[in-house]
Amino acid sequence: MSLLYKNVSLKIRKSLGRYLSLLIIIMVGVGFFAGVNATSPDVVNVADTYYKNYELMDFKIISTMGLTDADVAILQQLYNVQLVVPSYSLDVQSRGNAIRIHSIENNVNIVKLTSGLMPESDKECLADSRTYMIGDKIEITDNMDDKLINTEFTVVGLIDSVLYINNDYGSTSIGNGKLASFIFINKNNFILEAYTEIYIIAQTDNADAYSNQYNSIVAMLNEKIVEIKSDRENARYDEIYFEAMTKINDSEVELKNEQTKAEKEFSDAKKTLDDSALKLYQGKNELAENEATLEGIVNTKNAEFDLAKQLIADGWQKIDDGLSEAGITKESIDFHIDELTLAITYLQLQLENYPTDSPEYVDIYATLMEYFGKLNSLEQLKTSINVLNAQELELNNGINLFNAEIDKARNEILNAKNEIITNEKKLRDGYTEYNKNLAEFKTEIADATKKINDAKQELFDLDYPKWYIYDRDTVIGYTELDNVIKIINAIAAVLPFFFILISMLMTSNSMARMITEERNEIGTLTSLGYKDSDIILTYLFYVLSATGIGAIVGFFIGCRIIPPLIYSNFIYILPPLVLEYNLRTLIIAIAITFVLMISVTTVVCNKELKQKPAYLMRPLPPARGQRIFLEKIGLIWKRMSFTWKVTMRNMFRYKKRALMTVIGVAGCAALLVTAFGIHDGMTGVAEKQYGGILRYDEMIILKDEVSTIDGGLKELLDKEAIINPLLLKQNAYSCEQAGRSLDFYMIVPQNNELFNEYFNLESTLDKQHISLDDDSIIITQRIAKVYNLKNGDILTIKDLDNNNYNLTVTDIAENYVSNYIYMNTSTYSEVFDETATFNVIVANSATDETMLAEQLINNELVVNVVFTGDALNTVFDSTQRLSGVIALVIIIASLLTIVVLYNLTSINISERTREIATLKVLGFRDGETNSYIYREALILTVISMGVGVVAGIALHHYLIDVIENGALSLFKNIKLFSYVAACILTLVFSVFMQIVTYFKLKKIDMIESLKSVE
Amino acid sequence: MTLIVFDDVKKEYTVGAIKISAVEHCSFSIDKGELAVILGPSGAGKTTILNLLGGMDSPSSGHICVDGNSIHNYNKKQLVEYRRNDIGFIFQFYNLIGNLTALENVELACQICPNSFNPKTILNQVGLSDRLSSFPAQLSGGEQQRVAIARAIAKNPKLLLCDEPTGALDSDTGQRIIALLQKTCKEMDMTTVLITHNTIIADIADKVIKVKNGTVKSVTINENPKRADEIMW
Repeated sequence: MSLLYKNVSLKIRKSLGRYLSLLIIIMVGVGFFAGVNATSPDVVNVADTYYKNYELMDFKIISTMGLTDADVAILQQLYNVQLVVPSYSLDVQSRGNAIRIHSIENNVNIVKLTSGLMPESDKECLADSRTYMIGDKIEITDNMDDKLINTEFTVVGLIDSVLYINNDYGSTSIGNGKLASFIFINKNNFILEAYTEIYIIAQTDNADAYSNQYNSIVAMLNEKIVEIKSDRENARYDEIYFEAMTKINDSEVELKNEQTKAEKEFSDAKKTLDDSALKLYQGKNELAENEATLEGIVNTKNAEFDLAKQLIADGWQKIDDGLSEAGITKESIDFHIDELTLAITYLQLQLENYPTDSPEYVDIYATLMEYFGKLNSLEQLKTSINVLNAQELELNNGINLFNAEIDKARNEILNAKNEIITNEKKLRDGYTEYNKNLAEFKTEIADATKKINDAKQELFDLDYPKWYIYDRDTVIGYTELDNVIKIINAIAAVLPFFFILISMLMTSNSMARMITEERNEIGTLTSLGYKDSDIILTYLFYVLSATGIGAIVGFFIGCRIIPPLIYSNFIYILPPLVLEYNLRTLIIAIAITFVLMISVTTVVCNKELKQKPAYLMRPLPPARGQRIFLEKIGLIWKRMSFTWKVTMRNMFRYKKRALMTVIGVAGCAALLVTAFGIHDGMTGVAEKQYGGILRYDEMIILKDEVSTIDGGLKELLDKEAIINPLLLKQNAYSCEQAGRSLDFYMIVPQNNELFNEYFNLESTLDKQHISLDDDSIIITQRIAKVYNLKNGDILTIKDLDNNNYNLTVTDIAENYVSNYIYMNTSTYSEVFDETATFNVIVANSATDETMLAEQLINNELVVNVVFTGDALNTVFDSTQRLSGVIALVIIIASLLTIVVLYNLTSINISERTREIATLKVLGFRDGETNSYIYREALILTVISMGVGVVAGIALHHYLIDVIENGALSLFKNIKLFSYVAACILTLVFSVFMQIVTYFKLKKIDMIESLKSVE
Repeated sequence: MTLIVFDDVKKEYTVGAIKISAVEHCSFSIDKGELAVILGPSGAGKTTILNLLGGMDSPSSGHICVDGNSIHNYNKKQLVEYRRNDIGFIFQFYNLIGNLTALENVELACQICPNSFNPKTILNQVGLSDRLSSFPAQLSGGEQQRVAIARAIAKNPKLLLCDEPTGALDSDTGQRIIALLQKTCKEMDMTTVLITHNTIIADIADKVIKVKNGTVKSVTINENPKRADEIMW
């Protein structure tokens, strides 16, 4: 027994080539099988772990009018909702680039800090690690005063965000329409009155992203959200409406109050003014009266004074008369008095000297008496003068006093007059100001009233808010990754199976060959008395050790190399791949290998062991030659040269070998055709869609729905030199039938003729141009394919609010990106019972795209501009991504082709050594000997190529169908070049192997080969 | 007329570091039209001599002349042409191409020789005119060897070399094959060299070359060769 195994190990050492070829074939087969099978779980795992670790949201809800805490509360109550996080984001301009500002959340869409620190202040931010450096200053150039506290941030940490897993960040409605980067800032930096978005994390029971379980949980929740959507929209509407209404009412009341108050103030002011005017008037009258009275007094007094003066003057006259009578003057009166007094005194003295009766006396006396009389009258005059003098003085004093008083009074009156003039001026000014203020007030009131009315009108025109519910598809790259994974899965489902099948065929074939070759030894062993089972076991040991080692090594190499290789072709921003070795795959691979190997070995061994040892020890009798079918067709057979006949005969005689070659090489050729075909299917799809089918330069998304191009919109389009604008209604719908869900756009053009110009639709049936007419409902090919629709069939579609509509399909159009349904306005009215309004313009333009984009987006009528050229590039990029996978398939298919051909050639040569040696002995030249083998190989290769092409077409057809699961359709046609390339590659390998064969043939030793069998 | 001259021929094989000489000091000559038998026990070097003679191998030293040509100097290419035009080989195990009919096996040889005979005639000559389209597997051992003989002589070679042609046949059949060879040799004047360990067969030879331990022990000319049907073993 142990000697048997020693024999086996010796055999392995001796025929190391065969052992290794067994090992390598299984290794490549299992390696590819395991590697490709491991790829999508590995990638899904990496993506899923990333999503889970960083709590990627399951839903994002945005509303045209913001979201509130009430929304959050309601959403929180939905079944299967784990977490609802209200949040903010804003698209802003910074240094000419559009960037998105998110608020930092710690339980949803958590950022992955790659370097630096979390922000400590509100002036710091985290920024996209691909765009910014730590320490960069990011300045927001838009006016965001009412939305953000700070508008300048310092980058303190660099991050990756689970919201951005593609290196393209998608579009925005500002700037040139392309989102260039993103930053995250503290939440309290936002001063918006409502949340801009709500993130929802669903209770997904840890389901893997992209899995059916996840998708169905999310789909269920989506329905629940859709159910509450309109309620919440209405609630928000009511909230905004009532808030605005209250504000308007308050304003109105306030205005009224203000108005009343102001009006009172104005009337008070008026009254004061009027009072002043009256007072002034009265004052003026009084003054005039006073003046008149004064003048009256002056006149009276003056008359009195004149009279008094007259009296005095009369007095003086009398005095003067008396004086002149006396012959004296007023001035000499005192002298005269004194003289008379003196004379009297003198006379009196003389009288005394004279008796009383004396004449002298009498004379003297008489004189004395005269003198007395004279004195008396003089004295009387003097008194009168004095009195008159006093009187005159008094009068003059009186006049002076009076005049002074009058002057004073007159002055007073003058002052009063001046005062009145001043007051009159003041009053006039007061009136002017009053009138001015009144006018102003009236304007103000009118303005305020207008404002209120405007506000009322605005409120009246208030749109209902609209919720947009996004699932993870809104994460740029999420769906694309899914598509890529699906494609890899499709490949994993078919190609490695193919590979493993081929390697199994090859190994079992060489095993069978080996046992046949060693029949002699088997005979010897049997004759020595070894049990059949022991002998079989030795072969099993040989084959199972080779294939077992091959399978295990292949498994680990495949799992180690292939997933990272495919992953390196991804341009997603995901963490590095974590390799996983799914032992189930290994067990499956080993189980398949072992079952096959054990059965082949056992069957072949048993066949030999059934024979008598003596028979086994004799050389194998030549296999029965037989006539082939071709010989019956004398016409052909007779014309064939002898060597051709031999070749044909050989091919048909060694049917098994020929079949093996055909299966092996055809399989590889089929893989090549498929790989090249898928590559064909992808290249040009973008160009065909954007340029071939959609022929407009840009799509302008309008802010509001319009029914025609007029007013500002027309001006804008004219100004920007937009050529032939066509209005479209473009709305998203979905369809769920037969368990398959599909999203698509419905497009309703305003103008059929322009539509037919911009949308070059071709029927999938006859490649004829389809024009849009009344009653036509054109669906694109993917919809037709998924729901198996033909012209005349009915498609039920669903709008975002879950309303159903039935459409009768009239045409099916070629289309490669997204899905569309086209109908014209009249059909639309019939189906939806409403007149179509339009939200999109497609057009051509002659100007620079970036400039145009900025101009248009900056206009308030336009939300966004999508350039066909950009769309083309996006699709182009995503198809390019698969090229790596395709290249891998091509390389491995080539590798396998080489191994298969080598194996087959080796078997071929080993089986035919004796025959070839015979030919050599007969004197066949090397070339002739080779051509004897080559012709056969060449014919088999050609046949294989034919079979391979046919099988490749079938395989390609299947794979394309699987790949097309997403929104992307591929060309079904394989280009001639691909057939040629696949055939040439196969041929090249074949020729290469023939060169190897040539040297092997040359080495065949006639003598050794023809030696009698020992 | 001497057709073949072997002059002090030596053939060594190198196995690892050791040189084993299969034959040495080997000299003999064979005349044209002669039926020569190389006789010797197993391992004596008979087959090596035949291989050297048939251009399947070159000697380490010595001269081999066939029809005046020094074939010991021939390179590989010349050897191919030599085998092609001058040699007909018959093996113990026939070495027919199993996938070709009797006729086709003969045609296979004929098509590469310019002076070949008509394959049908030759097959007729070896008594297989009714088995032309049979495949080897459908023929008995004797019949297969006849086809092999036909294939060899159809090339119209200068030399017919037979390596134990009866080794795998029963005695009756073997005898008939020997008879056929003798007949062919004589009737077609075709020089024939036959290897055997069977001394009885040596009786039919014109010349018997005895080989032992890699060297020629004796060369005996048989004045009265027996007819094949006269011998018994």
